[in-house]
Amino acid sequence: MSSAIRIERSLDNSGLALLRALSARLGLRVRVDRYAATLAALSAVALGPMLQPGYFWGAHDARHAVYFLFEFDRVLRDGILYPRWFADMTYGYGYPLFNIYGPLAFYIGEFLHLLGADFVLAVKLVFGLAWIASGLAMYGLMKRVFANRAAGLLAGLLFVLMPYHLVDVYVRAAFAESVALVFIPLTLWAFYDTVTVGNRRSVLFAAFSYAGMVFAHNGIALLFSIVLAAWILFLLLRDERASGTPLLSPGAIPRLFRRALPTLGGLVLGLGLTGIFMLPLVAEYRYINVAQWTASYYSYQDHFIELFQLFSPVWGFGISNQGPVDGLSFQLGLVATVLALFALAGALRHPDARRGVLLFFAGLTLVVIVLMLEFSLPVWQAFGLASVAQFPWRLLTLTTASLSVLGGAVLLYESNPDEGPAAARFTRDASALIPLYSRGVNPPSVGRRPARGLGASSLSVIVLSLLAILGSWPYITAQNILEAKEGPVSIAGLMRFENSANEMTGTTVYADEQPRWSPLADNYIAGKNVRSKIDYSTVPDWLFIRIPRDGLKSNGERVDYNAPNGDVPIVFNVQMYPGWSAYLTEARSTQIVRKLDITTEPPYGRIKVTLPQGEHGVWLRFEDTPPRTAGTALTVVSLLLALGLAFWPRVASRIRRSARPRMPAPTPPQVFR
Amino acid sequence: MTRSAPVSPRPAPRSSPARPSPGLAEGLAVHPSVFVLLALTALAVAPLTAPGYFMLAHDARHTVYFMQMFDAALRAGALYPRWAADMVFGYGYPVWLILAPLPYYLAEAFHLTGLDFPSSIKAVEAVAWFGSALGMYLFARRLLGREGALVAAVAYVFVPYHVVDLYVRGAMAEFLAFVFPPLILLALYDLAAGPGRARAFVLAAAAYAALILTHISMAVLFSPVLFGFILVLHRWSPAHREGAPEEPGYGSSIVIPFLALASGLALSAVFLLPVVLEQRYLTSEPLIGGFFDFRLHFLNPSQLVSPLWGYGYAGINGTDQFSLQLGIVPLALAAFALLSLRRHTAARVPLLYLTLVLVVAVLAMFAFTTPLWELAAPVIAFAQFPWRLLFVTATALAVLAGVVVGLLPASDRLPGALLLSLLVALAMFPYVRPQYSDARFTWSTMMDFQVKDRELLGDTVWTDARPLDSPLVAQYRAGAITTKAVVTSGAGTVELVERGPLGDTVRVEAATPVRLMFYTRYFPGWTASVDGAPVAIAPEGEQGLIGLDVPQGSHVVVTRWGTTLPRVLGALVSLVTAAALVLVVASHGRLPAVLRRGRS
Repeated sequence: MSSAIRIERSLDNSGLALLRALSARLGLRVRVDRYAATLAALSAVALGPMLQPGYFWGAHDARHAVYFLFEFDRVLRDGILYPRWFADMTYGYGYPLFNIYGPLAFYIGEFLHLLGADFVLAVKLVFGLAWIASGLAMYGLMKRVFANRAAGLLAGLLFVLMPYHLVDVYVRAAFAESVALVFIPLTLWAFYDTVTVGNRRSVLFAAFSYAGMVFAHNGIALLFSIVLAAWILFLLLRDERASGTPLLSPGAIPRLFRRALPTLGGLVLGLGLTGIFMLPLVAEYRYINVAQWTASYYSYQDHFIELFQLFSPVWGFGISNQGPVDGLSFQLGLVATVLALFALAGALRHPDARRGVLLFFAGLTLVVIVLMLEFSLPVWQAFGLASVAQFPWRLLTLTTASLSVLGGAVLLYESNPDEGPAAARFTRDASALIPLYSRGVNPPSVGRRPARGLGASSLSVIVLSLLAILGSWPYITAQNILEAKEGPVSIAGLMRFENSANEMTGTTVYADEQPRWSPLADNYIAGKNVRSKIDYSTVPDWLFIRIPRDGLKSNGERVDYNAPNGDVPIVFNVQMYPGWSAYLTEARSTQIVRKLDITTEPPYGRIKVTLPQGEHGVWLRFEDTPPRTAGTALTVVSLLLALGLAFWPRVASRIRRSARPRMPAPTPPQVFR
Repeated sequence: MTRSAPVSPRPAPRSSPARPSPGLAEGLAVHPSVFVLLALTALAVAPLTAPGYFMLAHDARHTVYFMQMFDAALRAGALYPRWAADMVFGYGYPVWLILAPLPYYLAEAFHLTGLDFPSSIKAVEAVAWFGSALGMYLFARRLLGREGALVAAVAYVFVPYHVVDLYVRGAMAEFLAFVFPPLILLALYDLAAGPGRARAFVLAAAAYAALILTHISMAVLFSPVLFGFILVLHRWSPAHREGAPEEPGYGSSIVIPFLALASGLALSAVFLLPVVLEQRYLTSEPLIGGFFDFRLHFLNPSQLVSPLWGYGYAGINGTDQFSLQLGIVPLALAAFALLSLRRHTAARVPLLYLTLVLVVAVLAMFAFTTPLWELAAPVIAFAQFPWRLLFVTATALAVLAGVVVGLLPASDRLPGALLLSLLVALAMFPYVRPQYSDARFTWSTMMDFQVKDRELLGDTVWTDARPLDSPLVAQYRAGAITTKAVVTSGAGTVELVERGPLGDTVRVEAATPVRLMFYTRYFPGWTASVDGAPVAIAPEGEQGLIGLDVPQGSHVVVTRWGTTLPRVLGALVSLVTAAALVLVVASHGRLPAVLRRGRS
């Protein structure tokens, strides 16, 4: 053990010392968590393929990420701060993608793009940053729950290098999902705080991390909320039992409720923050043509996995198929699984507070594994799980997190050399390997006692980290392609992508059939500047239309017209969706005269407006519907509340008073007797 | 024999435990490390439990078709099949004259229980995985103790070439050969400790014979290691020798271990003698010429540490499309081992020797050693690829990887070994995957394999040119052979009465004396009879088929795959040796007195 300290001290004396000296010069107080810094550095091995030129264009959703960001940027540049309508999707007919899709990853990507990164680089940067952050979040969770930084380092590394995490990035290129993975450990951490600490900081932490998860990926958030509920309930009941009062005594429920108050506060505030996204999503999802995304290939019954696939080393860049032969890996992560078994063996021998947490994650892992097997089909049918998870194997997101916690926990049971059988002594190997080190590397030192609570000696961390890295090393590959076959990222490239992949071609309920191409797309491909979305084939000869400069924006367009011969219907190449309104304006002005009725033109559900006789203007606008307005208001109010909570201590102290005083974190043994 | 007085070149080691060498059963007695070893080995076995097969592996299909023909010949009554009647478009080829038969006998044993051919082969491969793991465990245990042996055995299983041999190359025989080197080394080590140990003697002989009967090239490549091992143990291992209970009269004889290996040679005479004496009737060009010239397959040093993985074929001069890595993790562990050799007082000499083996075998894979190869070219050319020495490095490297465990304090060795073996196994696990396929093997697909892929072909010295086709191919595809012989001169008709893997029966209606040609390659061992009376046969036509004269009239002509003097002699030698070894085992574990007088 003392050697471990020595190694750390020798680290202290090198680079970090320099860093400290520098920061002291600058008058900064820098606290570097060496384990976190090491984790971030080791996590970088996962990013290797991203440092190569090109991009993994062939990965399943790789082009989606880039072109979503491309569209996001176009809409944002039109001055719309919360984009909902993507005008260039569905061959230019448009689609309300971000009314139903979490925007967080794209805000980050757009920020990087505005700083100067091109779209592809921005996407790769977001992937990379999220990847590093996910490991650090796992580290934070472990450090908080187990007070063990070595276990945190190992768990973080396992999380980063878990096969499914690599699949998520390099095989599936699941952009939003990989950002959501940051929030799984983060949210578990935050709500651990609200239950065990319950101060205003923890409430804010919980609110923002939960909201962040929803904004990152509403599907994962919904799925994960079930786990989160179980986690909160588990923690509350655990501490309730630890307090010694029987659960069924009078007053227990109100007391439990009072204790749960910070947690509930965090949840409610978090949900409030997501109002701008969630309220319209819930209210207006029914106007989306969903069948397109749940039919045929997307039928979940065909995507259960075979048990052996969870342990199979097979790797690939193909897609999920019916039957046992899939093009991609659904491996649980053999390294983490093996380490988890050892950790559980350790946990079973040590009846302390840590055991409960580990058993929670073991139970979660088991349940999730069972749910991924065909055997569980009735459960899926009964609870409609498919609407949450899409495919059974996407539940691997959850095991990725839970097995990391369990695998990292192998370093928790290390300290006592007198412990019995080999399994429990498993990780002491490190202290055993140390003679090899201490002879050559470190000068002998006398009289230093090892610090307590550090967990494992450095060398076991080194060997186990090596295990985590080498166990995934062959999988850290991507199919990098220098130039996408759609050509450079552009509006023409977007059209080619939509056409070749039949993606980003969603329809609303107003459409009877899915467009396969459009006149707009022809113009984009030809490199023409599209200045209006009016379908001129519906315009009679005698109708004169004047298109003003900058009349067309992603959220609508305004034109002037002269219809001398009477009322005339015209069709816009825009797909109908709630929020689209048409107005009659004064000629050459934005002065609104009155609202015009909108009908739809089959088969694509395009917007049809009848222009009144005379010389006027018409203004088609994508506006906020009542749910959007209410949602935005809710978010703003929640933000103000959060700010209040942060900067107005009296509010916080009131919440703290209503909650029970803090429970001591390390609970005595025999909790579950 | 004469030898110099026993001089200890080094001072007596501080701790020279008179380590009693436990017997085989005792060696495998239940210990956590054995469980861990079996569990980790199961990771390597797992792909074999999948349905189907991996036909795209280089030699995977050959193996199944050989198996199919072996089974047919065995069922026709050949106890030691040599003639593969369906090779070369049905002309036949004595493939087991040059191909060692043990893997096919083992697979046949599984086939007889009802498994189909691919499954029987996979069963042998599964057994070989476990066998190689346990064999290495037993050997390494002598040098490193149980914990070190665990790491060594896991390293042996997961050394890349071991995995490549099965899941990339589909080389079933070569893969099976991995079982035997540790067993032979174990037996020789025990013999050196006390040459009177009859069981060790028999094990050495049997395991060496098994290696030869499994893959002759591997035996050729590994034999120098064995000879060196005997010499080194004899000369430089005082700790080892002095630790052993001196048995009067033969304590340090060097004859006995060599005699054990010689017994192994004799045991495999049924295969070896015909190989040596009858191989000259086969054109060896296809085996050692052209692409298979060893001069084209020396390694680029970077290949030994390259992370490249692939399922492609061997290339020329370092352009191979699959991994020929030594094993990065075992190599790293072995590097630590070198630092710690001092701790292994008892086993230092064998460990140093294995280090030397590793270095020499690695160097011999590089082109600058070509002159050395040329010296032994007539024999060593049949190794085909210098990188087959990875078979030798696997053994040495695996043992050396286990040495590092000795650095740990005794109480920490088990968990330490556990962690290190996890590291070795799991770092390799992502590569433990074949290219899965279905398993469709019929006589018709076998013909496709021959016609389209130009495989399962081979020529005798009586062949003028390799055929592209034969009159039999269409018959195979149609599902029935109807014409197996034709009249080449004279007038007459031929009707096939019976056809089998060991010969055919035809009825000839000859209007004039006729010359009859069977669609079967001429080779020593073939006999023919007309109406029961033996007649002379001779190679006929540019394909060197069986030709014979048939007199006018109606006759029954029979061809039979018989035997030759070398084959009979070989079988006799093998049988006698086997009987002698059984006697040795039966004689209370002591070698006959005549052998024990080595020292006097």
